[in-house]
Amino acid sequence: MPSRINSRRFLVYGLLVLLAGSMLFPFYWMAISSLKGKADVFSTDPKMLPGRQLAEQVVDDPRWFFHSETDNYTQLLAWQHQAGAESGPKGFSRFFLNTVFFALAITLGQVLTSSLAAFAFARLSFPGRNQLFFAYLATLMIPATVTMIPSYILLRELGWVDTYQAVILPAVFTAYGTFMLRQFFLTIPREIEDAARIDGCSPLGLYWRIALPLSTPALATLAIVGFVGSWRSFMWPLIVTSSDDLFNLPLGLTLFRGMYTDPDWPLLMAGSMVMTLPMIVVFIAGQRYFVEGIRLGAVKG
Amino acid sequence: MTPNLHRNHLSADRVPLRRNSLFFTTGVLTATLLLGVWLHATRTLRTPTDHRVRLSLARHYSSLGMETYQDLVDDFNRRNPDVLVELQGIPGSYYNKLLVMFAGRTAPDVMWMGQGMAQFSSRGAFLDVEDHFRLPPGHYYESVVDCYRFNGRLMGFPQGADFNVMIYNQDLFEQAGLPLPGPEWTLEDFRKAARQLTVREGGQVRQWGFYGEIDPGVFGAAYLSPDMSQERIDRPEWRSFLDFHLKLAFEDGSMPSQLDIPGARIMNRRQVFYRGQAAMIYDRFDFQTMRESISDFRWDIAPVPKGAHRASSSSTQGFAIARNTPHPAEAVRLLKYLVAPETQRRMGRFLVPSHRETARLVVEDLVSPPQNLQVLLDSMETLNPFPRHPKISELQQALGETKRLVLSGLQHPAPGLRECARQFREILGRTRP
Amino acid sequence: MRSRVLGMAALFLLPNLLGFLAFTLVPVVASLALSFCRWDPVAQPISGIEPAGFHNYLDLLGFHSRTDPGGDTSWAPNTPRFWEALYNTFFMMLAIPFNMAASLLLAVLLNRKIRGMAIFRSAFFLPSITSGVGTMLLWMWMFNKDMGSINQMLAWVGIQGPAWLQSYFWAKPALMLMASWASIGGVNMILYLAGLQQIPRELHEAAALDGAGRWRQLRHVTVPMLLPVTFFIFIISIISGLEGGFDAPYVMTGGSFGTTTVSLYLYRQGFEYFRMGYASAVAWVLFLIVFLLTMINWRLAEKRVEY
Repeated sequence: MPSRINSRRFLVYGLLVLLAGSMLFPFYWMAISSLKGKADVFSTDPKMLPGRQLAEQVVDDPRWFFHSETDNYTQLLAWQHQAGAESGPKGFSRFFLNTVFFALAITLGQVLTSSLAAFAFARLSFPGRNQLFFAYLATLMIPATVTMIPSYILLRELGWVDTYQAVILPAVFTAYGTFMLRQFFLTIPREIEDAARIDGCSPLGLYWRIALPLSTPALATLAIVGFVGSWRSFMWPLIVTSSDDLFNLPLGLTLFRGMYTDPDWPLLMAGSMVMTLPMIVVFIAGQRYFVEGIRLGAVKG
Repeated sequence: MTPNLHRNHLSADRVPLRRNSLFFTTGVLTATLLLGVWLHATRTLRTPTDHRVRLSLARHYSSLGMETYQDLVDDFNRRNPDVLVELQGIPGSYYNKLLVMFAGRTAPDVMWMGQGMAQFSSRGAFLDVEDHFRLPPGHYYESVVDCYRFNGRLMGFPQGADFNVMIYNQDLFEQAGLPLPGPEWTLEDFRKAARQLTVREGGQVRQWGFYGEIDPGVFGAAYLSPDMSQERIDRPEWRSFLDFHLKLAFEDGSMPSQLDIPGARIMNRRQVFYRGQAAMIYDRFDFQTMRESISDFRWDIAPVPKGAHRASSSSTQGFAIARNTPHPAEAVRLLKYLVAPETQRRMGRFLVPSHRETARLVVEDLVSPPQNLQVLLDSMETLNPFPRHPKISELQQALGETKRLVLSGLQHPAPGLRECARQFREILGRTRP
Repeated sequence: MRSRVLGMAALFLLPNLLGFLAFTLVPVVASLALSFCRWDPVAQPISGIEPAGFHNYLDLLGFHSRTDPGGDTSWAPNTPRFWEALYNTFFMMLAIPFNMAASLLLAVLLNRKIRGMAIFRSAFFLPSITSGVGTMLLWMWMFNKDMGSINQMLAWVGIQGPAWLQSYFWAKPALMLMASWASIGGVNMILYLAGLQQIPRELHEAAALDGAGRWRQLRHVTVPMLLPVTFFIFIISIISGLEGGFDAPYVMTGGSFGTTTVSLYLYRQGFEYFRMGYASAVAWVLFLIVFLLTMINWRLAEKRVEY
């Protein structure tokens, strides 16, 4: 028996490695391109290795990556051009910190407000519940393309154009997150809720002691989705900001894109790498909560 | 951590987890708030602290030229102590953002304009500045200035133009024993050269004779009738434009067809040319990048081959003032500064000035290669502007679709043009936008 | 009692509801109003928006009013661009069930305790966060007729591959393939992973005691317990299927060869042709379609379990 289990495990591993490899390929290409020179990015036979030049460089000077002046990453991180502020972080580091702030604030806001509303939709009964929920659902079905200008005019009326809250607040109150968490709260067995109620638990207690702890994976999911979404968002920040001390990374990276000229591919790729890594870190942190199966007993006691 | 431990940890900690998560959430929340407060506090102050008139100047956000622009703005602010101009860089989708700003009545006072000029000016977006520019005749390239006229009135002013020129690999021409392209070069000479410069190896093309698209104006083709009321698509000029390119791509095989192009953006014409895989390209003249990118061979530029007409594909670059600016007088002052000959001279790295004398000076300053710099000045006379029609974008889309289909060999030119003309009539006839 | 229930519900709802009303509902209602208007945002100030009745909807259905050079107005049939785009979009949505099944299978596969699972999960998640212009360019290379790696692989087994992105027949499947690649390990897979965690282990243990094998457990325990999540994923997939899919055709085919999706069409009408009223009408017709599909699903799901 053990040998059979081993070979099956081996098969699963093999399959995963193969599939994962194909998924990783563009990322690998991005990483390689970000280390190349301008002229080498699209050579006719796309070289899949960083090339001899890089290899020699690394052999000559193992710490080259950190102090090479022509290096794409150094160039990127050193980008200072007038971006924003008279004091405080400037340039690329400001774009980065802005993005961190946007992403954290939006994610926190989404998880807090959506989970509250979702609990009401899933676990409380009140008149008009289904109708209101459908109104939430319905707004998801209107493409953002046509609500963008009305939203912008609304924010202008509030006097919020070109402020941090203009980027953050409209993204916080999400129908998506509410709908999603509602679906997860629905799966919590009624017996647990009943038992807690008999023990004298209020709805607020049910939310805090039962619904949230039992839905950690769902909360982690929403956190990942919210974080990644706001980290990458381009169009909305573009619409509501006008000074570059408010720019996030996706806006800031267009610096290397040019309007009629060729984009600076290696710098763009380096920028994409810097943009992707924090999302991976958040994903790895979040996916820790996807561990097998809850035990009903654990909360009963 | 073994799987078992992990599971126990999770079930046993269910209740304490609440406290931990409370700490965690509060911690992240506080950190986020602090970060936000700090970032907000370090923003550049934009509330007026003096009585200067504030003007915003919009330009696309790009590392190229941003510093030059900031220098210009600083210089203007120094010379005009009563005005404070703030440079606003718009990342990525420039015209989308402008559209939203116009919709919200928050358009910048003065803005950079390129190809969007036709669409915006025909909608009355800009301030009429005709009376502020009394131009002495002959000092400016009329073809360029005309791109900023709508119904005979100036709606902005061009700084200069950047346009397509024929760029060729001199080494390859000499190796093939071909005469170098000159001013009397015809479309047939060009086609012959392209055929001879194409090199095949085992069924695959190793070197293309030509990569690009000759401006339809060379064949006399135009979008609309001069009064812009009728389409001019289903006509022999467009037919010969398509036929010529079909011959290059399929009969001679000297130009990559749509099918051979992995995608215009990944391997654009310049990239192919830099690598010596195309002997000629008809592309945007980008002095700096080209000098940086070509080191392996000698190259030069040539005028577009002579057909029924002379025409070069171009886009002008200049500035316009929002119609609703609260400070028209100051905005006009800024506009005049931005397009003044001295400023054009400073921007010469990026475009050929619209002021004749300055254009000559700028071109003289360029070092060779390319040798044949006169081509740049000659091209300024024959720029082929887009019609300033409010529906130009829709028309361009329809024509682009037809070109893509016909040049991939999926549709014959005649029915393609007939269908395209029908669409033009539909678009033109539709009552208001 | 009733007021207490309402009060409690309000306590939970208000933080989200207030923001939702202000930032989501107001613009949505505004766009509904705009769909009955003629609005060129550059030419007309907001105060100058003209009512247009059902003209935008008629235009979309297939008729437009035209003015001849002489000044006479008449009604004429349209090129059915909207319906072509809708057809293209529906065609590309055929991949949804396949993508969902693949995400579920992947989630089950990744829901194991294998050393280094975080790395596998991240690898599958990566395409959904790196997919941008860069990745699309890479796919354009791979789809190239002669040089592309896909056709080169096909050539090994003796098949001559088509020009994927320049063919009416293959352009849509090519874009679908790329979209599947990007989305299978993305949000849907995480949602399924999270859904799998919500299933009490007792249920699997009870099923195992009854002698159910892995496959039967999947069918009789896992899949039914995942219904609420599946419902969510399905609805969101339909919504994003109908309203997404903008970037890929925009970058890779320019919308030619039958790849103009409704969202690309909508973008062009609104942001390139400045026809905001018409774009809003298109959006609201889309809304009606999605809403009907959702209602049907809702009723079907209700019959099976109480949601």
